[in-house]
Amino acid sequence: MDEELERTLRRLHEPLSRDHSRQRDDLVAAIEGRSPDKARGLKRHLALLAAAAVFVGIAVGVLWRVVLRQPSPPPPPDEPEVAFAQIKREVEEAGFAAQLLAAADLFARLPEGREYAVDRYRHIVATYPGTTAARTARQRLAAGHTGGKANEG
Amino acid sequence: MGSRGDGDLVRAVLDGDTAAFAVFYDRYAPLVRAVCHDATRNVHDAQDLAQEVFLRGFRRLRSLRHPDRFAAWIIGITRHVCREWRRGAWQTRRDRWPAEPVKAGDPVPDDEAVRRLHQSLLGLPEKERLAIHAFYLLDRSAEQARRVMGLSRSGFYRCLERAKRRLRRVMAEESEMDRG
Repeated sequence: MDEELERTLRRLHEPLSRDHSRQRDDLVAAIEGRSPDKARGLKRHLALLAAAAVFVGIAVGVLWRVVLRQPSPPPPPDEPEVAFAQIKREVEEAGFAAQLLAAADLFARLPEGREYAVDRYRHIVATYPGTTAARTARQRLAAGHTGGKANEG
Repeated sequence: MGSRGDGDLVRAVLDGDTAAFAVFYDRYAPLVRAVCHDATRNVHDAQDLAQEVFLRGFRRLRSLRHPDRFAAWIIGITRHVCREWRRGAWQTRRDRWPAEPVKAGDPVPDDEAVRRLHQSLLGLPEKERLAIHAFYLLDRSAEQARRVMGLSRSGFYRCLERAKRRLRRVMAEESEMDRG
């Protein structure tokens, strides 16, 4: 029974093993690209490639800074400080002009001081042209009366 | 190289020796194909499935914790691939291996005795069928066959004898039916 069974089994399995060698070669060809050694080799190559890329990146960065980059431009002018000084000066001028305007208005109330007041108004307009006091002094001069507004106020 | 143990071969493959995997193929492909053939009942599908089994085996070889148990492990993969095939998942990936022209008469054995034996084998429980395949395809080596099945020697012999008895009975019944 055993021999007969074995013989029949062999006949059953025979067609299955047809092309065994070719199939084995196909399989080996398929796995050779996936060999653990080759996979490890590929990982090593990738690591080297990544390290080389990092090195090149750093080198290019250093070159860019050291050789190719233009000298740094001079620092920008200290604008906030200048602006502060200018504002301080304008405030001071506005203060002086306002004091002069107040004094001129006081003189303008007096009949003998009107001529001096006109002279002061002109001085304010000429010396502190951008101030509120200069604008007021200009209006006094244009109105033709030297102490009118002051008197009205 | 053919006499090397499975454990040594596994370690050789993991060290990059693909020729060692070819030895595994020579040793176990007939058994793997037979198991696949029981599932597919078609020679070409069985051959394709066997290729898939060995390819998966190679890919997952590092996950094999006990290299000496390669035979049982590859049969485990075979059964899994066959289950996938039955579910139809694998059939959508049939282009993985180059298609081979089907020759007339190839898939179905033309020998009546062979056809009857295969029918009878398919009537056996899966474990007993594997015992028959393993014993006769691995040169009647009970030691190798029991390793494939993960059984003790005595356990394997009991299983093999049970399979033979059942096979004789099934074949006798089929003969009776044919005569009747």
